[in-house]
Amino acid sequence: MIHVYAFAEELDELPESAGLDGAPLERRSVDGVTAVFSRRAAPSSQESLRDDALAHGAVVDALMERATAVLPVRFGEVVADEAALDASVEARVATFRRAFEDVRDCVELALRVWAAAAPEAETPVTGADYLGARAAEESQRRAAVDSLDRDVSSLARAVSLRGGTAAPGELLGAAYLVPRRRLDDARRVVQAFADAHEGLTVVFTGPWPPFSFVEEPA
Amino acid sequence: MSTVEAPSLREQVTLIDLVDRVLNKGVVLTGDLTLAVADVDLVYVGLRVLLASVATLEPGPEGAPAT
Repeated sequence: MIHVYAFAEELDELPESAGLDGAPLERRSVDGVTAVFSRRAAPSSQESLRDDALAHGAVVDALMERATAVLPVRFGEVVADEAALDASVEARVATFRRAFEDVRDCVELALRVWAAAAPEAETPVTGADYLGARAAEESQRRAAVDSLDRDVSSLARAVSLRGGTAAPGELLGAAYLVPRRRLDDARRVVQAFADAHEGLTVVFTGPWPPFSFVEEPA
Repeated sequence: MSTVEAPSLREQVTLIDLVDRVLNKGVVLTGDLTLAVADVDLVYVGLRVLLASVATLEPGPEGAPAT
């Protein structure tokens, strides 16, 4: 079977690293859409699933440096052979080209914000005062996080709120498709927010290949 | 996985974000997944536990857990 990692536009060279199970990476192009794949005898076992998934991610990541646009394929997608791969690409060439257009020169950034810890009251307060203070604090946090989301969105070409695994109490969990030239601006905006809001935990990860921005509308 | 030094908050969330993307997002070619849903669920159970634990940590000055 053939395990597909990604589709690439104008891929110069394959990464030197091997694919899953140590098999060499291979490429195959149909109408300007290059599929990057390797051959496997069997799908991942339960024991190797996590490591294989991480290895799949590493291959897609390496392709990001070598192509003008990359469409990551979800881990676990396989086709029977080259003919099936070609047929699958031929049926969707127009869709893939549009998708290349959408993600070209962009990376994905993931942002999570949650309340770091429950604040300690410094002086004894009545229950009503406490609840009032908590509610006010909660609404201030919401407003701050909404404003952060707007600021990062303004630097992005697209935003995905389609959630991943959420942290308990997560106030924001979003992915942004950001042009590479705006990466530093996005980092600065987030760092300034983190510095200004010590009661909030802010974790910004990436740059990722645009996994969250390649799915076709159902 | 080393237990000598706890991975930083950022490293842990990065792992979660990566697995979230690779297993759950991206181009769907055929829909004929070779993954057993139960196996994917197992990976996710681990992630949810990890995320629940990191969410309760307060990052120190360099993003490492404070305690």
